[in-house]
Amino acid sequence: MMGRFILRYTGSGPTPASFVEQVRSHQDVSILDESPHMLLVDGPEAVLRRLLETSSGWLLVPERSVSLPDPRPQVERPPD
Amino acid sequence: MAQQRQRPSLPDDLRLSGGFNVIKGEDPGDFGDNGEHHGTHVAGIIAARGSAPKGRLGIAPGVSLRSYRVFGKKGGKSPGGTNFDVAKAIDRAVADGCDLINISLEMLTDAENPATPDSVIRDAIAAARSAGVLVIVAAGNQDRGPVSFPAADERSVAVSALGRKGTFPTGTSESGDVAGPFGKDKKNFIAAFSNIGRAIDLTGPGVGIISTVPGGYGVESGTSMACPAVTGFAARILGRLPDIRKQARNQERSDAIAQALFASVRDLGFKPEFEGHGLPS
Repeated sequence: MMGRFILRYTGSGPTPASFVEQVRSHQDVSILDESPHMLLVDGPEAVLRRLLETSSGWLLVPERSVSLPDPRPQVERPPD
Repeated sequence: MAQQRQRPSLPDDLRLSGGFNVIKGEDPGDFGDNGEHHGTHVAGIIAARGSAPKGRLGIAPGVSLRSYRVFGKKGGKSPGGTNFDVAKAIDRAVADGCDLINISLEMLTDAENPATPDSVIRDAIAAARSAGVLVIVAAGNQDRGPVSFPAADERSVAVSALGRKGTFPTGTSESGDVAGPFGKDKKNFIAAFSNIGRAIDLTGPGVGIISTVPGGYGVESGTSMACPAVTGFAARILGRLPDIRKQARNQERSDAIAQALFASVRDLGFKPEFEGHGLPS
């Protein structure tokens, strides 16, 4: 399944640079954004899971949205 | 303050000591209002520095306030607001030395179960707690639904919204937020919109709250407003506890901040699923 995923390093010590380079150089995966502990990538989930077999301490999670809590009732459909 | 002059999107009564915009493609230094005003209102509840007659004070006006923007500019190319953005902001706030993190947002990817955790944000909160930082989160506004994630995470301090009759004009939209059960003082109620449940740790004022918006002040209601009231109070407590502030930045430190906060509450007479330990006061 193609999609946007987050790779988050939860291991001890610095993020393994060699693994990040492995992801960066993979032809089927694009790095969209990065931070000291995470990569936001676009690519096939199966490929990412295979890559993770070579490095431990990573979470692989689909990108998801958060929202602002709105206390007011919402109109499902504007009045005609 | 020079920084404020460079950030016209912030009201005069709100001063930031720093921050970061995590949205890819936007200026990382543009961490002021994104055009939605929500974050500016939240920030003012913590730290507005206005003075009478036109201005108002936040709960901890002397605090060093930093803004980590996770939603894109209104009408901009990227809406932001993803689990990646939130985790990145938490990580950055921890790295910048923040003591408290206020999170006035929720994740509703699973409508059947809003408490469903996201592993990335969950790990970021765990890392923050392990680094001595307390994370305070709005419980969500699904009309007495279960506490939403990330407030539902056991490491978060989850905050419900308290209202008080007589603090808003009758006939305004806030009147619709009144619902029983009422507290020992019958004027007090937990807002009809507020989520509740065993995950609630504290309650804070969240109905008809006046705070900063670009250009002045505005009224908002929500657990988003209750949350920064608790965060501001936590900042005041921490300001009085130098021993905790000096502690090594680890889990014991964030636990000590939480315990000090929980020990400084007033029981309003609601069941724990409504008010948790009570109202910080």
